[in-house]
Amino acid sequence: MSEAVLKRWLPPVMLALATAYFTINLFPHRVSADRLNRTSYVADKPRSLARQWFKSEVPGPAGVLRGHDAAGRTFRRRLPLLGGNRDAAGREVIVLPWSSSRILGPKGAADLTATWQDEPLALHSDQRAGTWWLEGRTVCIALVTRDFASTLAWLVRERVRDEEDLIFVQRGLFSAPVETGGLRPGEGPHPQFGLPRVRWGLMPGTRLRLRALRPFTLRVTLILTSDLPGQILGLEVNGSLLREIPLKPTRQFTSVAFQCKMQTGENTVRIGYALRHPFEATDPRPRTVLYSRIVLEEAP
Amino acid sequence: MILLGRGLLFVAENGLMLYAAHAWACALNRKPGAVADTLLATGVIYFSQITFTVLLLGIFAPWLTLRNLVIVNTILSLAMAAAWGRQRRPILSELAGSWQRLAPGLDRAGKILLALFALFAGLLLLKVVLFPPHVWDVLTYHLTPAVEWYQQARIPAVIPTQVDRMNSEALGLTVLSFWNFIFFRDDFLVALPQLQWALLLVPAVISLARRSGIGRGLAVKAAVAVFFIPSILIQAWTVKDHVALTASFILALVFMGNYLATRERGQLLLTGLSLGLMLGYKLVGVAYFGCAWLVWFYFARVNPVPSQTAGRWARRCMDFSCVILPAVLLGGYWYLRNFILYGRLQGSHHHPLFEVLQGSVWESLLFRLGVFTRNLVQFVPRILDYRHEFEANLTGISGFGPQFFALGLPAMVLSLASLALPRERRNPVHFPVYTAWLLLIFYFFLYYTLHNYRLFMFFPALLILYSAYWFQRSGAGSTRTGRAILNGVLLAAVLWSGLMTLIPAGQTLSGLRGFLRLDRGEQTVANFWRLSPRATPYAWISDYLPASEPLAVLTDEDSWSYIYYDRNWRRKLRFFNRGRDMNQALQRPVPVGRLKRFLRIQGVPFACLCDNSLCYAPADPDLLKIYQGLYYYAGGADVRSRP
Repeated sequence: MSEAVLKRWLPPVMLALATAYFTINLFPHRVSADRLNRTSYVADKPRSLARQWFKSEVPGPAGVLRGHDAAGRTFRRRLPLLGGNRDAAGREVIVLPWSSSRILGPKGAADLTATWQDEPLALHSDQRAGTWWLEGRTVCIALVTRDFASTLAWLVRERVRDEEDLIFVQRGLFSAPVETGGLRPGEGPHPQFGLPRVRWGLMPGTRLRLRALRPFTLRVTLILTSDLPGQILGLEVNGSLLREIPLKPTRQFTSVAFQCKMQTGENTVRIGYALRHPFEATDPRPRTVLYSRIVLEEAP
Repeated sequence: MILLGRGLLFVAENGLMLYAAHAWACALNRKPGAVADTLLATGVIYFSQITFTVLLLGIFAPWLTLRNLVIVNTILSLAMAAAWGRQRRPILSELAGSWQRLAPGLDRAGKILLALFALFAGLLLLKVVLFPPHVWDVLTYHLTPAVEWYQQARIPAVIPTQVDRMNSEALGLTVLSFWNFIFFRDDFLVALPQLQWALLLVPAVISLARRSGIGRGLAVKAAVAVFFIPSILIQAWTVKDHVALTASFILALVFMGNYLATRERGQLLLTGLSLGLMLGYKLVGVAYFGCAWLVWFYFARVNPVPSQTAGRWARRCMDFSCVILPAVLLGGYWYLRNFILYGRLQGSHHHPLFEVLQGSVWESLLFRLGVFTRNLVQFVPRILDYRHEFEANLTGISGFGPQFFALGLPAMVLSLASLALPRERRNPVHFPVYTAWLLLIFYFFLYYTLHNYRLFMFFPALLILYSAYWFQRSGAGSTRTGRAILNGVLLAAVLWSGLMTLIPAGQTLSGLRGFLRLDRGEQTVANFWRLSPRATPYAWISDYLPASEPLAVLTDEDSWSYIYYDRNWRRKLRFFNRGRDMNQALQRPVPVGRLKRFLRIQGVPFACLCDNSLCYAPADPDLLKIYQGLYYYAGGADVRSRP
């Protein structure tokens, strides 16, 4: 081998190859309809976030993901929402959850496996903004339209707990997940008011429904605040009044704890309120007290 | 406080072992200044000691406890330190001397590359510590055996699960993960061994480069480029075994090359240890072993040492045993277990290496030719890494990165050209690259999958090194333009690879931040991989089912199990095997009657009926649904409450 030739040509060849690699990998990612219909999604998996940086597909604030499809349209996707299955142009859109281990073909919603049928997935069109809103409580979604097949697959990784989980804490295993009622969705934190994440209790009362695995004593701790003079909590367990607790008007969060016996099977704990907030007089479901934490645990 | 005490014990014990290993390594590498070789030998001896002692204490009796491990390793280390302590050279002054020799030959790009290496090594260590094992193969079989070993204080020959790979694969790396767990009783360091192996790759490449006559500066640059190969960066903080397999193989090549040059028997011993570790990491290690020896024998034959002809056969036997005995001692257990239990080396699991011939010879040949052709056709698309994400299984891509595309491709051409020249091909400098070729061709015939390139990490590593050799030899680096191009390509490739692999696939920065905000006990793999929180119960089990509560889990051929464990490996799993007749029949119901009987006998009230991301919903009034896929059976609790 002539070393002189190598001395002259090796560096340019390296440079050319490196340029080729980077050019090909930075080229916009387009998926043709044929390819999409013919092959599995394995070939069209999302790129790593680092690649998305180059494509400006970065998560925006408040869990909103931004990106664009093969046709260059802009999407704004947020979890979770609910709605119909048509895009802004009235075209039917099929939304398929995507999982790395089991890839679904673009054959329609009927192809969803049992695992995924629980997922409420739908597409909203916001015609004013010209954007699409995608709903679903899932970590990864492939989106296909019948008219102009395009794939958007991305991973949304976040600590997906229900809103109420931020407030609601169940320590230990004594029941199937507790169902709650009479609470507004979580909000905050509101640093301007010195408030953490909170949920309003709603008139006429807040309900906790437990499916106990065995008889036990439940300890309920409520961290709450109410600035209404004369506010009283009425605690009922399985329909019978346990006690009434008057609350001092304050803007500080205070702790209220009580214990009650649970039977195997269905149990209901109801927290009733005497007063509603005056500025919500016209609200059909007026707000009462403000919770920052509701803790359920087994009493020792 | 307990964690601090355990941390101190971990540091003290490992420090003592490394001290002893370094003393022995210095005795085996008497040449002062060969820092890279000494570091490599230290690493290999250290890993060998861990592997040997864990297997020794775990296989024969339930002695696999922290106390026993510390006692045995302390005795061994003290003995080694006593035997070779006087030959030990101070490591820090050696490193300082090495840096003084290196610094003048290192330009600004080289220093930036070294700084990037330090930065990314630190980031990888951070990722190892902060994030849980997260690759799906790991959830299937890499770590669950270690949990069983820890809970039983021994290494059972068989774990009663339908996941065959747990009972058939070589689990040498699981041994190292176990070692990193048992000190803290927390799984935050279980992925460390792969990172350690990845770091060892750097001195390994430097050593090979120096032996090839490459200058210090260029050797360091090549080593950093190898470390930044995307597949290595991705896997360096996982509990998969491909980096360890590749690194141990390359280390074996280093020691074999050293032996070719020096004919010191100590190098053969180190070769044996490296090969033994390699055999223990994967059953396919046998092929690496075979390919390396074939090429080595070729070079030993074409480059004989005239002075050593007397007593040739006795010497050869001695040399051979220096390699084979440690190799069998460290890696032989898994093969022996498979042979005793199943009558074949691959155990109960299908393995293409041991089933090369299927059907008639002609059919097999045609099949293998088809596999080879497919691999060949796919080679260029794969090495472009195009249209796919960099994830640990390297689906559809090579993960070789731009450094291979730019440097490795010319090296491939040059290495093939060197084969055509008789004088050239006798040069031992080609030993690593010829071995890489032989192994790649073997692999190309062996099998084709979407993930097979994760096994080929050795190829870009050795080819990048080889291109550095030609760069040096041709004098391309002597011109300013040549140097600038090489530096530019390397910097771009390293930055690209580092950035592309910074965030693990399937994660976002906000997701990682959210994970780190969880309580420490909640930072489990189930909360890291929340596939779909309503579709699978893994996160719910992690958050709400106490770790002291045993759990029956459905197992099929590739079912996950590590996802159920807490960080401290306290939860006990009972594997409910679906039965092979039900394999691949996802729509079929779970055999509820058998499940209830199983729960009653095991005394376990909770059962998770999920197979990876699919959960089953049996319609039986006795099974109370706790969550999607998670059921409570009172019969299991009744038996448990009996005296």
